[in-house]
Amino acid sequence: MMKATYNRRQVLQMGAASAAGLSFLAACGGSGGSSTTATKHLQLFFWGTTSRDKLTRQAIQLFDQKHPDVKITSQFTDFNSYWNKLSTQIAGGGAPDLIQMDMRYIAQYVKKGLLLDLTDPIAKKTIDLSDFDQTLLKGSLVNGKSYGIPLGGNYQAQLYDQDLIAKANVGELPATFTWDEFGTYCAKLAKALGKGVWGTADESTNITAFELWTRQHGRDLYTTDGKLGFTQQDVSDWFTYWSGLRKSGACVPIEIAAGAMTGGTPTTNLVKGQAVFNLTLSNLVDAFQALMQHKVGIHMTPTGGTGAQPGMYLKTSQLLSVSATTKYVSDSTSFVGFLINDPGAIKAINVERGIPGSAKAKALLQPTLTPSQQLVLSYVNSVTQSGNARPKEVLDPAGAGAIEQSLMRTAQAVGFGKTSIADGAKSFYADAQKALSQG
Amino acid sequence: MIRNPERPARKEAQEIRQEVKRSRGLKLSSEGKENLAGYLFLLPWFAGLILLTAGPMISSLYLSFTNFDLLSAPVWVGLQNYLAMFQDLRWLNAVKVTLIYVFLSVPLKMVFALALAMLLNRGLRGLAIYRAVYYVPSLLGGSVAIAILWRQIFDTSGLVNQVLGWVGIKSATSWISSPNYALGTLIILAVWQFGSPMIIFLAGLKQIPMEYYEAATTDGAGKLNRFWHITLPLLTPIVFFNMILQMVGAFQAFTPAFIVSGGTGGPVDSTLFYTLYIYQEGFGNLHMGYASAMAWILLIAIALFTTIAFLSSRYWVFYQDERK
Repeated sequence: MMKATYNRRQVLQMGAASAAGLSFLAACGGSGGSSTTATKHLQLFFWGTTSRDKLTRQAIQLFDQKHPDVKITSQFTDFNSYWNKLSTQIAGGGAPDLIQMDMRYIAQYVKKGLLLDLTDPIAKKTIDLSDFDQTLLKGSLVNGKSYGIPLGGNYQAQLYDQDLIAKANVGELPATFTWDEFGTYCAKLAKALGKGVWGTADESTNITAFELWTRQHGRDLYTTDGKLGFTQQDVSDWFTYWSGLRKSGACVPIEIAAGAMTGGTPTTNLVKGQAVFNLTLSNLVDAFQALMQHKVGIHMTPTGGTGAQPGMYLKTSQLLSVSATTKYVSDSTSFVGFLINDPGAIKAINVERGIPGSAKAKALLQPTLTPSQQLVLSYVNSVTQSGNARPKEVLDPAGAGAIEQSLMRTAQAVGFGKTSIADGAKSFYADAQKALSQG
Repeated sequence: MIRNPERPARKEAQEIRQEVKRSRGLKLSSEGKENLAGYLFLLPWFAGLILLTAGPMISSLYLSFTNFDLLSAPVWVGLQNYLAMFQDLRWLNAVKVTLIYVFLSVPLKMVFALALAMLLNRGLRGLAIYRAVYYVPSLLGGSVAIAILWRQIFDTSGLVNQVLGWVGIKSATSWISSPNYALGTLIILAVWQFGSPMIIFLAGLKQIPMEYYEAATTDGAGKLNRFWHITLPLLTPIVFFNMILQMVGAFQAFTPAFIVSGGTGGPVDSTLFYTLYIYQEGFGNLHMGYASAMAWILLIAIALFTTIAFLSSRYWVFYQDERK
């Protein structure tokens, strides 16, 4: 217990407890690892939800039954911590054999020589891609080679609240709209729906939306030699456009927009009933619908208007890669082939990772789809045929993640009036250049 | 050992030397055995300290001089990481945010804790219950659940705006999403976790001898005077102890900002705590060398502020047993 008096030594001892400050340093030098001791034990690591885990394990079980000498163990976590854990595992020398990959990270991993070149197993048909969607496949190549097989594809999409559109009663939702038409329509919606509801979420912070805008202007975010593809003018035009939407009331006020950024899908303005439109990816219809009572619709993103290029592209939702250091190359690659071609596995993983690339798989799944999955499938087909899409051939370089964060910060600062549009564009462009040079 | 005053000093010294020799031998005295047992019990802790704290710390010191992306081998770059910090606007901003947080949240929390401790130190019935109740936020406060709750309370249609509405102030501000107020809400969250300093203050207050107050009252000292001239001086060691502990903790605050801002430190970096920036750079952008360097600067900063506090304590901390 405490004594009435304290001498200096006692207090010093207490102060020593403050050396707990050291623990944070320790956290920064740590290393983790996993062990695969048994002869044919394979590790699969992926991001996702518990429902994805369940489906994945069903597929693994089928594979293990057909290959009694192989035992695959899977681990999963959410997207954000996935990359921390994966890099820590690799740093500790315990890379998983099978790695779920994302297009934003794959170039970096290939550059470090961490992923297996799949050219050989594809040629040998261990991974059979004979009926695979060529656009999807092309979009997944790194330096012209396959380092991961797309498990699904999706397009950028405007998800919207069907009930609010009906309630606003400002005329039919046009089949396509340009950015300007979109802004006008959103302003009308906001006016009709009254207080607390706006036409669209604030997408000025959204790199996916900015990428569309850039591509419609005939450029890509990055060049093939790893430089910035957009110009400072593109950025300032982009900020100007959204500042106009804020002024006209078409888009949510900046504070509401900032609130949407804190907790993923559940805190988006669409889910919270604050906005009619939200720009995201087509495979998220189910995720949004699960959180909303109103009915979710899906619509093509705004187009660039006359003279503009198509902006949308079929984005690989995720890839399955094999570690370059795996001891079991043939077993790992045959699991990849199994996952995209075996009817049992196709049915097990379903469209939860996006619409599969194999034509056979699509045909197999078609009759079993739920209405919202049907909606996504027909959306993906209609965009492909619409002429509003062109393949993305430039990979996101290392540093793309930092650029995404920087756009968010700068666009917010512009929205809050903490910086002018011109200064914001300048600082984002400089930040982006710095991020690319640092890798 | 009883010394014989008639013995020559030389012989005595020889004997002592022999005794020292004996105790250094393999054969342990009973005292030595006791010590050995103690060290054995400490062994797991030492193992943890060396393997989980000291080892990683040393490797982080090394990494701070390298370019390390976790995926490939570190490359030595000398002081580059340390120099880069001073040109990094986000780093400077993180320093600013953290200093504001530390120097507002710590004093406020301590004033609050002391006030409540004094309120509870009046011979209340069921003191144990009050003590427990007021301590609860300290247990919960660092948790993820509370940080999420905080976001709700300070949101556009949250509790704060509702209460403001009742007293006639119409507010649609989302306190947590505004760059002007977001840090303030985190400071309030910190102050709300006043429990542990309060308990320590309470224990300290109970130990101040009543005679002092009685004597002062007889001499006609009012409440304020008694507080100012008796309570506070006698409590300074506790104030000092709490201050050090809270300050070190505040410098390392991470969870509230991480959860409330969704890991971004936003809006517009207004809640970008130093530790959050370390995390973003190290694990998000894979600049682990830079992050390690930042962590070492944090350690140095904490050590510096703690030293300043200890040096200043000479002038304001009053130890009864050292009165001359």
